[in-house]
Amino acid sequence: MESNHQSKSIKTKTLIGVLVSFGFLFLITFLYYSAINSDHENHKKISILSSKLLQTNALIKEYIVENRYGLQTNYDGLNSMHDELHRLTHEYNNILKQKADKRLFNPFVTLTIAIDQRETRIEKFKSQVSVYKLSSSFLPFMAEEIKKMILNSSLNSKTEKLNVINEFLLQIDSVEKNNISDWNEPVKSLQKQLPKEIAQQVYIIIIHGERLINSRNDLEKLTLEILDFQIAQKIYSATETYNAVYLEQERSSGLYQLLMAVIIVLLSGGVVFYIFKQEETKKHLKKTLSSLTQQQFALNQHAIVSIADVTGKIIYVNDMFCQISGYSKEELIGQNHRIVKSDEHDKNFFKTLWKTIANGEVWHGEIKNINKRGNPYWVNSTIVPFIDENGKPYQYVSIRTDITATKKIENQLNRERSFFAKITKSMGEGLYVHDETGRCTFINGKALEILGWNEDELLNQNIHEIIHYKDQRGIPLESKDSDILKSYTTTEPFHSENQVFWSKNGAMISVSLSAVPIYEDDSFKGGIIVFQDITQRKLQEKRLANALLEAEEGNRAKNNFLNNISHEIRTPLNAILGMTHLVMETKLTKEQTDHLQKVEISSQNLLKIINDILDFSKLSDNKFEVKMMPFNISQLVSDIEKTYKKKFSNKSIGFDIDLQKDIPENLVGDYKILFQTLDYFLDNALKFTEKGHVKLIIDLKYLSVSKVSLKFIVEDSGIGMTENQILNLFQAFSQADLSRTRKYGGTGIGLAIAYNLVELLGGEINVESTKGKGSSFSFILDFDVVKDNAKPGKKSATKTKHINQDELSGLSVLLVEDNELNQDLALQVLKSKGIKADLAVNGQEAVDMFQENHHYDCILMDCQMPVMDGYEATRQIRELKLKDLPIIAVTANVLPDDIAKSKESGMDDVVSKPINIKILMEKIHFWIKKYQGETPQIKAPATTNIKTNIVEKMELGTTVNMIEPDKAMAMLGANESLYFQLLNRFSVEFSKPLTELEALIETDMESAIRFVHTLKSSAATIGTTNLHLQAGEIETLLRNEKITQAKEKITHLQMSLDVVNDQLNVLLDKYKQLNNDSQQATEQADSETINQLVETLKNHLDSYDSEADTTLEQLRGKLTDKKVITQLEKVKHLVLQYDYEEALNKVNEIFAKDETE
Amino acid sequence: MSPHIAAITYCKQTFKIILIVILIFVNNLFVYGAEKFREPITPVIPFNNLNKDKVSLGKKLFHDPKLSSDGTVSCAKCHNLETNGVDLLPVSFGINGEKGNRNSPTIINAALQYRFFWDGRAKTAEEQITDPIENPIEMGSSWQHILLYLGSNNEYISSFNQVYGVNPDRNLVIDAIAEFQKSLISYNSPFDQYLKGDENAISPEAKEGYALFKSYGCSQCHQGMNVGGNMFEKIGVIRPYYGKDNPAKLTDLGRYNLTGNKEDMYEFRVPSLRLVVKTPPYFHDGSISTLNEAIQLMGKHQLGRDIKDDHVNKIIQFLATLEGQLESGK
Repeated sequence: MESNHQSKSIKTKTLIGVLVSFGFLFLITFLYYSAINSDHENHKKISILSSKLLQTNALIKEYIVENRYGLQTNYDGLNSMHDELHRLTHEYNNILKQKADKRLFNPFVTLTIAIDQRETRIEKFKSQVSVYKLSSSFLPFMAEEIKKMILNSSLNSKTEKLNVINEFLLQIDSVEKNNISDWNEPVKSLQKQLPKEIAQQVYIIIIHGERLINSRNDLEKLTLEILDFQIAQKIYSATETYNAVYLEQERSSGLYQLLMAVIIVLLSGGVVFYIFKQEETKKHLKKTLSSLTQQQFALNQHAIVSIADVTGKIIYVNDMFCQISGYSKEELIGQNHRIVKSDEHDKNFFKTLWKTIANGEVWHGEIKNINKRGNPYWVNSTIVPFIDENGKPYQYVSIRTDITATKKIENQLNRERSFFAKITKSMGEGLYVHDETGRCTFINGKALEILGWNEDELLNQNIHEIIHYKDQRGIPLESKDSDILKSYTTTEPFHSENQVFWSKNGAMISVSLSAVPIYEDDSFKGGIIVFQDITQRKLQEKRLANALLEAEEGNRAKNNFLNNISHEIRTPLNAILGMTHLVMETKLTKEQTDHLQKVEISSQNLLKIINDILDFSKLSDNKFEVKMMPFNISQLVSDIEKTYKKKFSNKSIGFDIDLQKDIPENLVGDYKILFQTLDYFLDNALKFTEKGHVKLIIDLKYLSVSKVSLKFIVEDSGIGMTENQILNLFQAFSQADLSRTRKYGGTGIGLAIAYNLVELLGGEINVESTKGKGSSFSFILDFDVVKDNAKPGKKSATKTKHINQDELSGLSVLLVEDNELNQDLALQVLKSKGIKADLAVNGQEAVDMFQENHHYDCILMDCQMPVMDGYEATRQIRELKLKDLPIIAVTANVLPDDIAKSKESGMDDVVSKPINIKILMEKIHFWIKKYQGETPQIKAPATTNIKTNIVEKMELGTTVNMIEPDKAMAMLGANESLYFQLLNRFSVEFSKPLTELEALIETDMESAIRFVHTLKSSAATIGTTNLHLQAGEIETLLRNEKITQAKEKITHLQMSLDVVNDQLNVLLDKYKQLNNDSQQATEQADSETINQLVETLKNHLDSYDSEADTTLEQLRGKLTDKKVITQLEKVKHLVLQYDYEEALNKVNEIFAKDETE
Repeated sequence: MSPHIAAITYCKQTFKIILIVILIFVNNLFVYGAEKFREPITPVIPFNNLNKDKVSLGKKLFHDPKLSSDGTVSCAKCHNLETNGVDLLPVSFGINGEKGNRNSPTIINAALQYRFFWDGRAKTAEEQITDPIENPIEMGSSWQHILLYLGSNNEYISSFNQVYGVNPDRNLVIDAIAEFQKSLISYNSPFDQYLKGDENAISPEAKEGYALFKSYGCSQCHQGMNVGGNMFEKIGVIRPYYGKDNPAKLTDLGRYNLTGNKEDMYEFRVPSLRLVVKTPPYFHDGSISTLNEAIQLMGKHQLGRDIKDDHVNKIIQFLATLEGQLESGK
């Protein structure tokens, strides 16, 4: 008990020591700061500032007086002094802020408020002085003028009137504000007698006089007010306060300094003494410390405490020990700890225990004990050995807590767990459970079996890191990327067959798994994963996939072989044909000619057979693509006629083509396949008909607005077929009768191909035949209808049109526009959408074009044009009974009035300039649809801010701020090259000075307005809002005939225009520079690909390869020269007729010429 | 205060005034030298010892549209140096193409001004800068936005550190832009040369125009180094400008909107005329597009007089001589 008391007092002492030292520290800090608080530097500054403030203030007063009495000509001096005053007070304030002494602020704030208040009076003063000076200098001068006017007039009693004026002037100095009416009364009555001209002037001097008197009065008051603000006094008072505070601080700081010195001396002495004392007590403390600690432990009433000696004999137990063990203190002391020992722990357990504590180390563990009544209890025990001076333990203190209850629960849990384990063991699937941190809390036997790990190796470990740390490619997989763990974000179970686990020996195991997250009260607690080893299955699947791949490979090899072989055959065949042709040119006997003709025919047949085989292999490979393109039905008929007319007449068989009248001219479908199909049927007819006639009938089965169904029938008067023969007809390589093959030749795949082709086009073949009488092959196909351009006004044709947004291509549009820049823009835009556009440069031309029976799907009409404007043109076109033709105004005038005017004239809609491509296309589409009786929706245009590469690269903004390319570009659908073309155009069109415009205003107002209007819209198109607005203003002025104002504006406009032109050139230069390299590169690349394509095309044609058609299309897509493209049309035609030789000649001709050019 | 004492105080004040007047008068006799004696307009004195690095940093900030909330409006958009520091529009357009309600005054010589904005609500150029930045229809930005932007831009960080030795902050941004503004001074104009004694610096017509400018009383307000910009005056001080025929909008009330004081109604800062010929349109709302019209209206409402056409032309000739050369800027 005594030592306890001792330790308590030591503690208290230490605490007091700490507190005292802290106290001293604070005191010293405080003293230090108090001592330096009086700052001489700041005091000096404040003194200087005060005197400067006083000086400045005096100067301000001086300026006020000077300004009042006209001794200053302007207020600059006054203003600069006032600025100085503000600057000084600001500085003053900054110093005061460092002080944080509240006493200082009051007088200072009073000062600044006074300065601010005075400032408003000074501002008033300045205004008043100006007015006063104005009136006082002006009045005498004006009065003289009036007097002169009176003298020169024919008025009566001039002297009297002059006297009134004189009196008016003389009295001004003495008039007060309240008797103004007495003073101006005579002049006012005089004013009434005077003629208007003079009366007006008199009116002005009355106003000035009144103002003079009023402002004089105000001025006197203001001047005195300003001088009376007593700013100087306030400066004094602020400075005095500061000085008082400063002196006070000065005094106290002296005191503080002394105090600090004393304290520091005292403190140093204290520290020396303390250190000495410390050494002395150290030894004593060391001795008492060990027994002191024992006692403290024993005092712990909450633990079960016992102390044993080195032999294990109990020398102390606390009440808790007695309570739990059931023994009394007397029974325990002197006994060995074995008294409570149970059979739970083996020998080794105690061996380690004793070894640990005998070495002087603390032991910790759970021990099962038995109490007096023989009941077991569990304790969590810590045994601390106490060491004597020699380093040997002399006592063991055991501190225990009762964990019997916890142990019970643990046992229960273990039982449950083993039960659960037993159940899951019998499952065929692997199963593991992990907690929210990813640590495995349970895993069943099957899972261990699959994974090859022991339970101990996985339990409580982060299981992802052990079994799921790599994906199937062996790439490390972090837990955050694991599909399983990611799936926990939803409460839905997760199933996957694509996951892999890794076994202990590093083998990859493909698993099919299900994962379910565990949520408790919305918080994630872990997950349960059930999985199956599907490695074998996966292997099987892979093998299967490989087999399939091999099979496909085989098929591909077969086709490659077919391709190659046909090519290998075609080349020598070409040589045979060529040589035969050459020989036939020479002089030959009739017999030789006959033989050679047979060689030629046979060779051509062989070629055809090879082509058939190729097509057939393509068909069976699904490589045949159907390309829907617009085509002309008459063209089809004439193509067929050209191919077959001669062949049939050679065989003396009649050949007719019967095209039904009402069939729309232009259809959408795959012309190539259709032609090929008919070719097979006609070839078949040609082959099996010996006499009589063959007929191709194209019959109209169904016609609607947008669709047409046609029935194609090929009739012959040939040998016919039996029903059995018909059934086998379309099997490949089987002619109706094998015996015929020898007679008629051919491979027998022609009809099989035709059958497939018709199927490809969505039709079905119907065959009727009577043995010996002839056969009829027919099929029905559907086509989309394109509007018939050749026959304008044909109602049915107009109605059968069908377009959707992407299919605007093929339309024809008339653009009526006079401005070249806009022409360029619109034509390019239309062209880029595949729309054919014609141009009329004014309204009259447009009307003429319609009178000449041109036909268009839509008109885009500018409103402002020379000769005839858009409104009139629209009226006239509508009068031509073209009521159902969409006419869309494209104009920069989009005020409600303008829109009304355009609607009135018969236009359907208005698109504003600058043209937004998207809106324009939508409107064209909308109105064409509308006239077809549909009601399409117009989508709101997206207003995205598009910044293109080049613009980004150019880093505008700093130097080029009059033009906003991003804005303009957004309107143009980010068409960069178009934008820069427009810029170029603008610089050409508007580089001349506007003096021409001024001349135009005099001579030809209409053209002038048009010029400004064009500038307005062009400016918007290239994105210079400033110029656009200015031009717009001038346009309005000109329309309202405000010529002078407009002319003034033109000078400003010129200024802006010059800047815009400069900046525009900067832009253009940069663009050219940036674009040069890339363009050169693409041009070069383009011409290279064109050359390559031409070579390939030549090769294909040379080798009679049907790929020629595809190559030709590719080439056509790459070319830009219109002339060459039209020439290629002819080649295309020849290719379709398989006239490859002629086609090759043509190609050589075209591109040879091209090179020389 | 009894009337007796009041009278004495008044006498004292008056005496003081008279004394000062005499002193000053004597003083002034020695002060004026070769320069034109007692002219209301004085030659422009450009700022000396500008920090070139601050100026170029300020210039960069001035032209940077990214300071605005949508990245489209720089200071230079409305104060375009290519067009004499204005945008030549009646009122300026801010972010999202929104229309403001004031004619943008020129930035050139703005640093010489005594008060800023048409209603003079800012006392210094430094104070003025925050306003258009935070104005929702001008730049619609905030200091937070600007400092975030500058703080994430390495180029700015390095130039601020180079110039000021620290990272960008609000005061430094203002300081740099203010320094740049100080570099935009149009000085040594023909008229200034004339004031300094070169009689041939301006044409006889311009001289006549100047005489008219003074005799009509224009120079009572448009005065000082910047030919205006150093005081406030009511628009329509002699004859009302706003009335039945021309009703005033809220934005026409001038300083009244600032002080709420009735006597400040329609009061605006007298604008500088240094670049007036090149900075149309005119008046606080940019409603007057020509200088001709502006002078006529000023005569009518501020002076109570009709100014003859040939006088107007001569005054314009004079005004044209006020523009000097820019030291830096473009």
